[in-house]
Amino acid sequence: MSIPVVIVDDEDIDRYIAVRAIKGSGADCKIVEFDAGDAFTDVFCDDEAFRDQIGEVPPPVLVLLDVNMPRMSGLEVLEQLKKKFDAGKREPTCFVVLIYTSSNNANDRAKVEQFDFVKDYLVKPIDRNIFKAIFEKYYRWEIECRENCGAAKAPDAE
Amino acid sequence: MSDTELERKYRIVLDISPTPLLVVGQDGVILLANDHIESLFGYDSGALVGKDIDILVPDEIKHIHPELRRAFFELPTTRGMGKGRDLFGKHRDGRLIPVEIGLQPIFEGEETLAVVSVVDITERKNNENRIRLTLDAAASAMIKIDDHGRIVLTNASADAMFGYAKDELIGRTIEDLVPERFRRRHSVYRTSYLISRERRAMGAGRELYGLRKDGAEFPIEIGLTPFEDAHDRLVVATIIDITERKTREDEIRQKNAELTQLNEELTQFAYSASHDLKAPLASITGAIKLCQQDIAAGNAADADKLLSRTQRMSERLAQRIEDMLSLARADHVDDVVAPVSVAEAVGDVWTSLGGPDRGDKVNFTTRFGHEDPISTVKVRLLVILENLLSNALKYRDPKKGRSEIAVETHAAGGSFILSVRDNGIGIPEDCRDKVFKLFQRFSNSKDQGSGLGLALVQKHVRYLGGAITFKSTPAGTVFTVALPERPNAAIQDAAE
Repeated sequence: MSIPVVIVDDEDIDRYIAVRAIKGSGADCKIVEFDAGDAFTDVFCDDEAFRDQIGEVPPPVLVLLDVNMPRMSGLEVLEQLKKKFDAGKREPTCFVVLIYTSSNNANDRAKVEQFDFVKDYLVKPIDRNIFKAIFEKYYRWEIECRENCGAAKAPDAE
Repeated sequence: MSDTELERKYRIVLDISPTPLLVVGQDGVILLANDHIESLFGYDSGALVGKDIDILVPDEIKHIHPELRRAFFELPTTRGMGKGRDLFGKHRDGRLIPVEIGLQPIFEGEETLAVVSVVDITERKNNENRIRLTLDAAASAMIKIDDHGRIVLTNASADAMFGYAKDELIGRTIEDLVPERFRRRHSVYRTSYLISRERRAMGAGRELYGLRKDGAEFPIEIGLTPFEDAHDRLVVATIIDITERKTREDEIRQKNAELTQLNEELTQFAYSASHDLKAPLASITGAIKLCQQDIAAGNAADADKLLSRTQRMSERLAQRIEDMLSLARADHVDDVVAPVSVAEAVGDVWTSLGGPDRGDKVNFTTRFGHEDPISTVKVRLLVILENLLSNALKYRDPKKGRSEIAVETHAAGGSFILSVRDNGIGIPEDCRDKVFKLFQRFSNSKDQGSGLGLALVQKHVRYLGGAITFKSTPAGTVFTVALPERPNAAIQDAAE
């Protein structure tokens, strides 16, 4: 079963680079692209749209989130995700949220680290080797997690 | 008693006394005088005997002196003369000598005589004068008050500071110099101070104000020093007018706030700038890596596509750097105010932005309701127009069919008003307070901006002494710039 991957980035070329890097890593992925933070949160908060666009059942969704975007920044997206997680509307273990940004600034990192469900902080440019490592790290226990999610609460069960 | 008897009886006393002395009869005739008094007033030994005492009395009081003398002999007591007044004796050459005079009645048979002792206080008076001059020379105002709060002494600075004539304050209460609203409290503070009597500054932590005679208030600082003389418990208040210092302090505080703000802006600018320059570079690096992969794999077509995108990216990066430079340059424009034709400027800018090449897709209209030319700084006006028009072009809404961009002007109340209206995508409501901030982008438009354009526009508008506002709905946006018709003074103000 392919891994659902969400890329949220306003920059076309960065999304293209990410797609190529993910595909180049050899993993079997179903990639969905969003060109704005709010475009993603709209889907994230809407069960039907989520099912249609990202998928019904886990493996956990890999979310690749840019920080500096117009309108809604990556940090604001994280706020939205946190709200949903805190309210029990979505299960954080069903997501592997990764920040990818060109900023290596300590302040920016600190802001992101406030969100404990963010698994990693990647600095652009990214390439296929980085994604090989990511998939090794987070998707070896993919099956196990799928069971957890199924047993706990289906994200679209309401 | 005859004169010789009198002389025999008192001569020796007079001669050994170190004090100038004379004996005078009820009729005012000098009966005896010692050498001290004669030399004090410039007479030869024995020259005063037989003369009228009034020879030593200053001319101004000669006419009342006999009466005072008679009064003394009616109720002869030992006392000082003229208590509380300044006394003078007249020297033979006419000058007045400040003196203190003691009167001692002696009774010789039926006759009452007076022994008059005269002390030359020239030295003391000089000292007092010197002290007075020193006090008056002091820059700070000094006011001495008694334990009832009555003013007993002021120096020249105090009179000048509070706007009174010399000695006009003497006898008034200190509360006359305190603004009405503090008076009641002040008298309480004063009373408790008289009990504690410590040397200290007044009103620690409070702002103190003095009240001038003309009713004006001014900020002051007051030091209090208690002291006691023979009879009274007194307080000397030293007062400094701190109007200027306060003004300077306020200025410094304001400048400091401005600098802090500027520093924050700079930090923010450096952060955003580095980020906004680094992001496209990271994209370019990533893209080039992919190109290398494509070339290695023989995918020339993919590589070529990527290279085109990379090229566009670097062009955008160059534009961004250009914008930043332009923003920095906004502070260093040579503000030459000259007549500028707005109609011409708008036309030029529109052409330079490639507006006419858009053909039917964009309907560009102008309506000039002001009197051309206007007085302004051309460079700044051009930057303003460029950014507003390029925004209108950049953020068109393809869903609305033909794009409308309209420039309108009119004159109102000493201002030149220019508006740029479009039917573009509008500015999201929750972003409207950030519109003029640096590096703020609101649209996911393909044609990405640097997030600097409107910040730049606002900066130039401010330099021209004008203001910019906008209204935005999903139907479109209108930016309105108001510039002063006579910009010179405004530019001067904005530069300061």
